[in-house]
Amino acid sequence: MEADNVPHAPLSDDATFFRRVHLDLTGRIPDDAAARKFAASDDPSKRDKLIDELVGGEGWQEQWTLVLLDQWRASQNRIGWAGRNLFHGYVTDALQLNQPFDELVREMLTANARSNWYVGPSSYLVRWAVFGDNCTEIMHEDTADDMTVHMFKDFMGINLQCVSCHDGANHLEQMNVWLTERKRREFWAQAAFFGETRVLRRVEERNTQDEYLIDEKERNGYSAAAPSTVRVPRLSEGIVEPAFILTGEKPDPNKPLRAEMARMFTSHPQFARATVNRFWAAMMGVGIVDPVDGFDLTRIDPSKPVPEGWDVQPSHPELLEALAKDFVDSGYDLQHLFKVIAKSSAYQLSSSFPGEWKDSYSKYFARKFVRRLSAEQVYDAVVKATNMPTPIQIPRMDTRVNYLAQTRGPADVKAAKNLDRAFKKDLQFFLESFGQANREFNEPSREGSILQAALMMNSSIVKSKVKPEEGSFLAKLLKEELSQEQFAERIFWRFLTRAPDSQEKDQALTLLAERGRRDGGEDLQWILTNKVDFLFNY
Amino acid sequence: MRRFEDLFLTRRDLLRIGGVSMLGVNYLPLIPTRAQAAGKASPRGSARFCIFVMLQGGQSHVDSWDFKEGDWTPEDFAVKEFPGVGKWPSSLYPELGERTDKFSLVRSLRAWESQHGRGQYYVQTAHQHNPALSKELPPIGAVVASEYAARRRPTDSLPPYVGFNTFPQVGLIGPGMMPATYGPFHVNTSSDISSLAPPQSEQENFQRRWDLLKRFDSRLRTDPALEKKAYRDYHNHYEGAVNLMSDPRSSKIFSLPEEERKRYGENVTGDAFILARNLVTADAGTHFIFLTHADWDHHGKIYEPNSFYERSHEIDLCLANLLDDLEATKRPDGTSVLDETLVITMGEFGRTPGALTNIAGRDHYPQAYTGLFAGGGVQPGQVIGATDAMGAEIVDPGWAGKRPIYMEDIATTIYSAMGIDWTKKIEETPSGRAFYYIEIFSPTQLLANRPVEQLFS
Repeated sequence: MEADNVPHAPLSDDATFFRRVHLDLTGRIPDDAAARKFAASDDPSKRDKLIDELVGGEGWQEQWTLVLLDQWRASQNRIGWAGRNLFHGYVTDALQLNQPFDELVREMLTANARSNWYVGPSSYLVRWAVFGDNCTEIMHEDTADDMTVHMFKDFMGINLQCVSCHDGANHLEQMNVWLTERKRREFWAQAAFFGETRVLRRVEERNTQDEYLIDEKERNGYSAAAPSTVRVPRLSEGIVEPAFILTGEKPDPNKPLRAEMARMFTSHPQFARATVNRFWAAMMGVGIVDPVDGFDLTRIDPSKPVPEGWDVQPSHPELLEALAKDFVDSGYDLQHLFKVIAKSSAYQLSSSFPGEWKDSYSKYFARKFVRRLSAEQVYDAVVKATNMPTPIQIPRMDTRVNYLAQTRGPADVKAAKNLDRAFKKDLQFFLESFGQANREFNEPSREGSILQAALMMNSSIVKSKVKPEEGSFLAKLLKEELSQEQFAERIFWRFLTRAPDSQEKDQALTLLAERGRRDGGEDLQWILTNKVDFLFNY
Repeated sequence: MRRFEDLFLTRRDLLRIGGVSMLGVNYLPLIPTRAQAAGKASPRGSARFCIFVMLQGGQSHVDSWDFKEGDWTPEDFAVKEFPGVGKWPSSLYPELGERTDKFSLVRSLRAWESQHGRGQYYVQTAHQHNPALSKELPPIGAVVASEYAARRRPTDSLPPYVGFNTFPQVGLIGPGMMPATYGPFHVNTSSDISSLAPPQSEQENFQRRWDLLKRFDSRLRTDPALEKKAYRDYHNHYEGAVNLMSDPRSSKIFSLPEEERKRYGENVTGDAFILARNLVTADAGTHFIFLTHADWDHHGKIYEPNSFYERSHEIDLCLANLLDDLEATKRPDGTSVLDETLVITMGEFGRTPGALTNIAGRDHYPQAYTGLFAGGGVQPGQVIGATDAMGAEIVDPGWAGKRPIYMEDIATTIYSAMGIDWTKKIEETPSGRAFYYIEIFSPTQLLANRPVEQLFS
């Protein structure tokens, strides 16, 4: 940054940092009293201590299990409620125990199971089963293709979707140098690692269940002549021999195909690179390579010349390599990776910029980027600030949770048995409008919309929770003996994790004087909930 | 609402900045006016509005609009001959049975997909779901919105594309590479619609709070610094919402009087039909409506009262009332709203014909099914296409294409009716692959897509 003479923003202040790190690591806004204490503390290592406390904690486990299962599209429509809940528990355990990430991925890629309802990691692959003309027939090669596409997208940051249908040439020249050179046959050779993988769907009394068997007892391999229900016809012939698409390595014939594939896959440097980039992007809002599944392997290494007309792809090749190397050296330690990112100065910079911001500074991460809270975060922030939780019963489990970050997936609200019908409909719609993932076709989105604004101002979700109902934050505050000024400040800290500025304080005092603490307090809570610094992580 | 200059980023600009999104907005919209015509289409331009009703799950065509009687048919279907449409389950579709002169049926539909998610994606986009492109591929409604953007009048305060009650399997497809304002404005009639148009009694309180909010938040929302652009953009959405809520037409459009609800069946679908009707009659900016009628996926116990019967009664009443109301509402020049509104009703596929399965249901069946078309220039009272005695195979496509009618053909028909050149394509896409309004390569063959002209003659 200094070499290129790019200025950078100052460090964020303590309260801003406190809110940001809670949102990013646990998905929820922080407790107001803890925030004030943190801001007042003069412990020079308080930020590092806070990060060490949060990473690996319960909130972090909950939040990141949800994010990972959204990314892996662990939909109960595909793997059943039982499979989904088990898979969720399996990933939470892995995060809690800090299982090495490469080992976790190998477990998912090699899992065998009589039923995915009884073996957690097996749901990762069976989710991609592709059906034939009826829902019991599984298309062997199509399923191998989909598993391959998604594992590369999720863990290698490489999008093989295009070359799963046709060669890269004459299609991808403008987009990706490396993929342009790939042939569909090379993709088949990669997919052929699933040539012996058998997936069967459970059928009971002709009723299909979202329950699958997966093992390596298919003996026919991957046929280049197999028909397809989802891709351009294969129209070739013969059985394809497996070969790792990144190196050409062939499997040891004495070992199971998937074990060989998983070994090559997780030991390749791109695995660590893509992983650190994905978590960096999740914490920073932007990846060093962005989008995170758009790696162009020909343009990664700054020491190698890139083709005419192209630049090196990572905005910070050295940073990416250093993060990846550190991740490998740490033994693929995910908690360590989160701590490294959160403790970096790039992460802790202010989102405000002292001089005139230029877009060309973006790639230097010269300030923190602002992002709208995710759908779940918006709702959880309203619940947390107002202290007006509505318990949600997790489907097929004996558990109730107050925050969406604690649910097992986006379908839980609809399926929750205990929720009032009208509230359930309103909340589902609220979340959908804020871009909640559905683990089918919709990825989480942080786009804004008119509808979001309408719902923030007028939905029953927000309007009812800002009322001074029994048990709410406001009801409790009304009982405390506070000066008008203290009363206003407490609400600001509660909702925005900061004190009001002088103008805001004047406006709040006028409002409270005009409308009284009860009605004025409700108004103030409504206003702060609709402020952009409530709706954004900055 | 995005600022206009934000729309002029080409794919090359995206490459140049290395895909680094400047303010955390990852998928930058592209300017859709770069769409170029590739062929020589002459769109009909007989409609300004389209209401597309998806029977989500897949209506059994052989129990409804391509009726086939068998020993499985329950007696209380009260099968009778009706003019033009032949055998008709009169107790299930009594109202439509009395109005066979107001719509036409197409019995030669065929779907590419037999899975719900992919099938519903097809119905919304007329393209095969391709995960490599799904982030950028806009649905039909967003294409219509972009094509109608130039015609938008200053008084048009309502969103160009409105969706109703469309939830997973696939959910409502977003705008893709089109600007967010062309994406579907989703209304859920089982949720509280007063969020969109607060009742008169709450207007004053709302206005008071909005004024306070603007004052409290003006520092952040109007900060001109480039790094605060995300806040300004978000504030624009607030302004849009307030415009919508304070347009006096909104509270009328988004209202559901009890007597109206009764006529339309007092259920969420009836409510959506009322609002859809209000949106087109108000002519306040909305041109494409995608409305979902859910729960047609009758794998088992199809003839239970709360399954096929209930769905049929609901859609029968809704469609009949919609056609009546649109026909009865006249524009100043004397044409009816129905004349300028294309109404299409169909599922993502049909259901297995013949005897029921051993759990008394019907499974997914893409080979043949039926759609209902009315208004917007459609010549009513026709039956186009025919299936065999079982309803299993299409024996007569019934149109100039001389093959089954696919979703691509229906989208072509919609574009033609709405005066849109369906041969257009957009070259500058994030993926680099041109987006054709109507894909020139279908999943398995090269189709010469064209509007189903027979509907209009």
